[in-house]
Amino acid sequence: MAPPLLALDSVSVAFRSERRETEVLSRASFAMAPGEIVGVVGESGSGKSVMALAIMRLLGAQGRVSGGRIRFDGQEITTLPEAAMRAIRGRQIGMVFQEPMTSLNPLFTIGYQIAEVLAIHLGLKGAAAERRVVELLAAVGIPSPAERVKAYPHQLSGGMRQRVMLAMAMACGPKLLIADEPTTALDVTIQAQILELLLRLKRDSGTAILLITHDMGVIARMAERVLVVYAGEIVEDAPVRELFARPGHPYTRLLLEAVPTPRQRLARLPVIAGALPPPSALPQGCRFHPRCPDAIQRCRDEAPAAFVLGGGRSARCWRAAELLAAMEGVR
Amino acid sequence: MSDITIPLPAAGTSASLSRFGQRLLRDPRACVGGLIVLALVLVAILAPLLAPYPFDEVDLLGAWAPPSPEHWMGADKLGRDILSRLLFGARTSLIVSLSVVAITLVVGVTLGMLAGYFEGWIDTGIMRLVDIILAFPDMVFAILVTAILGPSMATVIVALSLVWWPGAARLTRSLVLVQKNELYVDAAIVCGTPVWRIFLRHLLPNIVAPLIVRASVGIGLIIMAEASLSLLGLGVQEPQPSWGSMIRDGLEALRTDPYLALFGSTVLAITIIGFNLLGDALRDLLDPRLGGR
Amino acid sequence: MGMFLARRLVGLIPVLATAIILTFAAIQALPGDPVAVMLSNHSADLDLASRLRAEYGLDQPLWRQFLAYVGHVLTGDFGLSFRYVHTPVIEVLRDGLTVSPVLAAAALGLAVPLGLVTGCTAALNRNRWPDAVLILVLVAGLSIPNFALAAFFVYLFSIKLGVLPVAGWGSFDRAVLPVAVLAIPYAAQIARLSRTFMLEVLQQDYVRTARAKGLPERLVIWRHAFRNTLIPLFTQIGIIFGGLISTSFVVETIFNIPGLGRMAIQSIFARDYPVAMAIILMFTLFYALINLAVDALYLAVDPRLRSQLTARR
Repeated sequence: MAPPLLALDSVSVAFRSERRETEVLSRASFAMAPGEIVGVVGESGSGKSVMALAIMRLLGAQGRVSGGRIRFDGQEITTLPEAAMRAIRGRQIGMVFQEPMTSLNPLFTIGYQIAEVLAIHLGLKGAAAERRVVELLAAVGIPSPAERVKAYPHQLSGGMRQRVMLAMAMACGPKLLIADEPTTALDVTIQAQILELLLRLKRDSGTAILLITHDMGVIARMAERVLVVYAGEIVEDAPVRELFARPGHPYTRLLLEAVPTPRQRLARLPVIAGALPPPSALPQGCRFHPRCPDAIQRCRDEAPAAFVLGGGRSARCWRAAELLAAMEGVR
Repeated sequence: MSDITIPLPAAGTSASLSRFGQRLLRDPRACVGGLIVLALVLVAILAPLLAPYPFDEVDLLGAWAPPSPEHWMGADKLGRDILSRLLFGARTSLIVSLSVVAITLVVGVTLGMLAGYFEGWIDTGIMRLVDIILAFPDMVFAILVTAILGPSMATVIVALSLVWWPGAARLTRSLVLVQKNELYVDAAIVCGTPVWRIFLRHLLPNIVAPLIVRASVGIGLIIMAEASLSLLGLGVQEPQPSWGSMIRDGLEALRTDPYLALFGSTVLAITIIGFNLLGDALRDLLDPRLGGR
Repeated sequence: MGMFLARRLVGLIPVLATAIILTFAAIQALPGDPVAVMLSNHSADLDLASRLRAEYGLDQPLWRQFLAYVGHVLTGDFGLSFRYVHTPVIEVLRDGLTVSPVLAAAALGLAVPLGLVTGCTAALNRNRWPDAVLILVLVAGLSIPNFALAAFFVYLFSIKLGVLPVAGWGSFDRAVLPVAVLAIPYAAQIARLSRTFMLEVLQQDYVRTARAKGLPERLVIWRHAFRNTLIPLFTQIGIIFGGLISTSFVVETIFNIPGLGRMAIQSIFARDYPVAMAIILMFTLFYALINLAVDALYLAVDPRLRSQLTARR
């Protein structure tokens, strides 16, 4: 089996605020194969974006990786010197963010901003760079790319800007693309186009994609494997079909049940009772237990480890195996 | 017709006021600035009691005496005690700045509210006037007015008020334009509340925070402006002491008798620093973004 | 862009009109009979008095004097000085015209870079000691009036240390103290503003994008963040320049610099009102033009505004 492209080993991230340090991501572990599309799903504030920023080492002055190791392409990048990390950012790992409206510098043309990446990493300048920029714009589906090169960000719509962001992220042919909620701020119709674009880019270049979202629909459509994040922990890791067919963790199950289908006749929409606990006030034991209908005493007392459930899946729940088996039995 | 009182979204209860006070005290700038301001006010009020000499007691033989047990800060060109004159000068600064702030706020806020609330030609008219005054550099305008009216404390107050009210008006107008769209204003109108009451009891409490910030930042500027005018000879006239005119006298004799200029400048600088520190602390607490005249 | 400039220039007219009316009214309202001022060295020679009155047009009805005034001002003729009899105001101002702009430009030239560098350094070192120290220094710089600064500096450098001359103008070392004293409060203001703007800009998403592209921190800050800091700063430059003009009056007076500001103050006291009013009018016009230039430059620099402008057509 090929070595994983990206491997997180018990990675924890903490943020400092006013003398206190709070852990927002706890012992996250997973691996990604080259060319794989892994979806990361969770509520706002669950820590999924933090994981992405930790991989890129863009946590800012207040954040730091407080534990664990991250390996990318055979190299450990957690403690890499900044200069070496910069060579990786934008070149081996590209990142696209949630807010296309504000992610581009308003003072420079989009051509200039894309050319910047080419200049820094590939040393492309002048006419050669401009040609490549036009190619990239065409590849992400921007009409009249040769003219658009001179456009300023405010002259483009949100969808167009997100395509530009993708062009920038893919410019140097990275092995991994991290997309943090790339479609959340866009219209539904544009969303579909951007997701199509992502799939096409992966097909053409073999880039692995780490796709972060809170939308189960996006996961269903795009991901090959799914990580479910809750309150700073990865609570489930499973191939996408398995996850949807037989969710191993009660949280996943409840998330799926919360999405109404046309066939149901409901008086009220199903919700998960309670709210996501803030990192500073985490429950004892299993972090999900106060909201979990299947919680037992042990869940209150002891935090569960991530149990391997076979078939390349794992879940952080004391009763995962038992509940899965029960689901089998029902069928 | 009963007037139903609508709960104000931002009314200050005594509880929130004391919480605000606590947060303010935690800021070192507020503490230092507040102490300085307090000292200034006390000195201004108690000047006749604190000053060892009356401010106009002349002693020509003792002119430019250096600091000594009789004159802690020395004497000026007419032998008057510098310390006493500085203490009384605090009064001048305080009276002028408080008067100007009061007038500016009353006039500026009223006109600003009228302009912002009614819009139309009232707005255009008032804003045209505001633009014209703001087109002049401030001190130039103040100098012009004091030149026309003749230098005196009253003139300084009038001149500085004329210079400062447009800024207050403009600020109030933009605040009112925003608040006008809030639901509570519609509710008050629907209840038949008379306009003056909407202004006073509904709009004003909701726009008061940025205005307080502006006032606190402005006092420092006004004290500086009054001192500048007096330094130029266009402000408060002798024998009334003003820190500005004292510094001017001091500068003339700087080579031989520096104490007047140095003590006067120090006192003026500390005072303005105090007001600015307090103003900054208030601004950070009440409204993070504010600028302009 | 042309339309914008034209509209703004037209907008200047009511301002200038007010300025002209105010200065004319001021001349009339100010105490003292101008002819008496002119005759100060001569006895009450009625013949001379009436000749002077005719020469200055002071025997005409007020409205005619006003129209004459307006007409002359528009052609750049500010009339004759009261104090230097028979001398056109322009002549009297000539020397000052070479001094004050130099002083103001030098002060601005010092204040802007000093303020920018200080402010951005503070922003980049947030939560570390350079920032805390600088914030205190900036408050002091803002609060201390320039004449107080002058008192301290002159005492320290000229009297105690003997390094710089006390007053006057004409050579480099004479210029050092007045320019510094004029510039420092504005440098402090610019520093405060640039610190605030830089802090805001550093939080923006596009700065994060620049880092995610692997750009060296130096480029992230100076190419991406800094340029966006300049833009909001620009809008404040007009106000700052206006303040600079205003406070130059005081600095010129205390350092005995033969500039327009000092002349204006002296003229007011000498009752030479045409000179004083001419200077005030010029300063006002200059201030208005600076604001116009700043707004135009602002348009030129921010592509978003350029589009808005063309879209409105």
